[in-house]
Amino acid sequence: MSTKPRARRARHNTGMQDSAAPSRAESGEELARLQATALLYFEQCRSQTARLRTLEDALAQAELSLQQAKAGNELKQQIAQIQKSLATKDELISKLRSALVAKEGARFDLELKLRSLLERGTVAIEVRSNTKTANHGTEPANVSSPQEPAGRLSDGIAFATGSTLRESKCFDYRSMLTQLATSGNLSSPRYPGLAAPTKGFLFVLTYPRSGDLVLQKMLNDIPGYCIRGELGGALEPIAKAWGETVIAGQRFDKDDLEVASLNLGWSIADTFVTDVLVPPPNVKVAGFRSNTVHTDIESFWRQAAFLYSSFPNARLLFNMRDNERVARSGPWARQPRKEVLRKLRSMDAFFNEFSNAYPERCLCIRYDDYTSSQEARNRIFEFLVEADFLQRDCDPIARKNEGRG
Amino acid sequence: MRSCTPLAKEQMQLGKLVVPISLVVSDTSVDPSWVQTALVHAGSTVVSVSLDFLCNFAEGARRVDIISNAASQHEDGTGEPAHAWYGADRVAVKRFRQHLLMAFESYLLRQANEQQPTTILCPGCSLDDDRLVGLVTWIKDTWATVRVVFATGGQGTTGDPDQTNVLGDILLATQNSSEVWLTDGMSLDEATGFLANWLKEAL
Repeated sequence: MSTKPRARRARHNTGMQDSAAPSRAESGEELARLQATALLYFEQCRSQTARLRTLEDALAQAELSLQQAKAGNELKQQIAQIQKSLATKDELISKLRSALVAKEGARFDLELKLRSLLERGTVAIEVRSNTKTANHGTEPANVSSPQEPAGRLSDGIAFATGSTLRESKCFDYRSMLTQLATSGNLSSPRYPGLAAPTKGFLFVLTYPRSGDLVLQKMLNDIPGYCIRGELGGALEPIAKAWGETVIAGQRFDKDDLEVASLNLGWSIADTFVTDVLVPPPNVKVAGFRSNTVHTDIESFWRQAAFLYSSFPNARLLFNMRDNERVARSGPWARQPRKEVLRKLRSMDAFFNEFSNAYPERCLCIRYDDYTSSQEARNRIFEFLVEADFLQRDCDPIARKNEGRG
Repeated sequence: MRSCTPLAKEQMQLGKLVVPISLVVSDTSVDPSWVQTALVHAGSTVVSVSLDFLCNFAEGARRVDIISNAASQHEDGTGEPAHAWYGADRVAVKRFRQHLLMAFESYLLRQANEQQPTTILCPGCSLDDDRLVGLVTWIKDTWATVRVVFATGGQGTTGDPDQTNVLGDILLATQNSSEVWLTDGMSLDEATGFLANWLKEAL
């Protein structure tokens, strides 16, 4: 690459030797001119470099601005998204409010439907407050007074979402039937069985060897009481099936299902009274004694809830006895003691839980108390609103021994 | 959709459904809404209930025998202690049994908005459930003409299920009074057509 310039320089040098040599002054001028040109180029180069640096700075500044702008845009987008989300949230809240209003409307419709159903001659009742009051005073909590504010029926049927019957507390609609016995509106053409006992129903729930037979006899000594015996849990699966219908009505939140469930319960209860309990004419209180052992609370709860909800003004007496003594008695004594005690304690816990949940018409009693104390017996008669029996000496053990004699 | 005729209502009062009901027990492998849609498209009035409800009710109806036995023993004076008696005689217990079925049918009727339900659908069931045999037996004892069908995924060239699996066990145990519907590979239209023919056959 560098061969040609060298050749040209060689020819030039040869030419210089051939032509006349320039004068010293000319050479000086030429040198000065070249120096000036070089200086000029040098200055130009420096200014170009400075401009270049300025441009580079400007470029860097522009890049920075661009990045900031991008970040700003992203921020703007994020803000827009947040605003959009907020708008969606507002919209959802608005829809939720509408849904709640609609749901309340539906519940109100159900209330009307039920009222209409009840007024068609089924079970004319007053709807009472759901306020739960402890039932240990002389005034029975389950009798509504005129001053008591009437509760909304929809409150009573407001099922909470839950997987089990127990959690749902759905049996608050017991209130619909509460006044059936006391209001004098028992002449129901549709459910004559449920209207037969003038004062309502009484069920004794307990376990074997708890002195339940003594209790049954004591109760049957009250005039107008007809408490039947146990039949090995014949009604339990039906109660479970009914519990399924309640859960279905609750799960799908369908009023029709809830009404269907109520009717199913009443229909079964009615035919059970008419065709199985067959209370004698002019009976005041009818019921039975069940000593089925439940090992899981769900199964117990369904049975208790079915009795409590489907029979008008039903009262439940939970009969308990010293577990150690029960475990030594009858068929229990042939089973592993630890297992027996576990079962009995569970049952006592189930009784307590249910009666705490529904204290208005439930009472836990202990065999050892009511067989030894008039005060304990008075508590039972107060619960049953049987004032005539208060202070009356009706020692069940003495009665039992009289019967034997 | 058929409405419930006065005759139907009268017969339901007697505990007899006019139109033979089909019971479709749908396996977890089958989309319940798909089955329900196909049944509705095929002209069936479907009532959806849980297997627990049906099985408990069937068990409850069976346990009426306990009350009946106690009533018999009480009437015959054959030793059952009086405290284990509810007060009913045999005739009353028979009436109770019938009224129990009426309550069951009324529940279905209410769910079908007062129309005659033609199909009870039990969605999302496990075919391993050992209560199924008892359920089918009770259903067939109560309503002999009811067609019981197990809808399950799976395809068969002949439509016959494998008699060695759980389903086969159920079919054998129920003495072939139930059938199997293999739903895999069926479009909604095909299922609708199949069910329409099948329901026509059932009538």
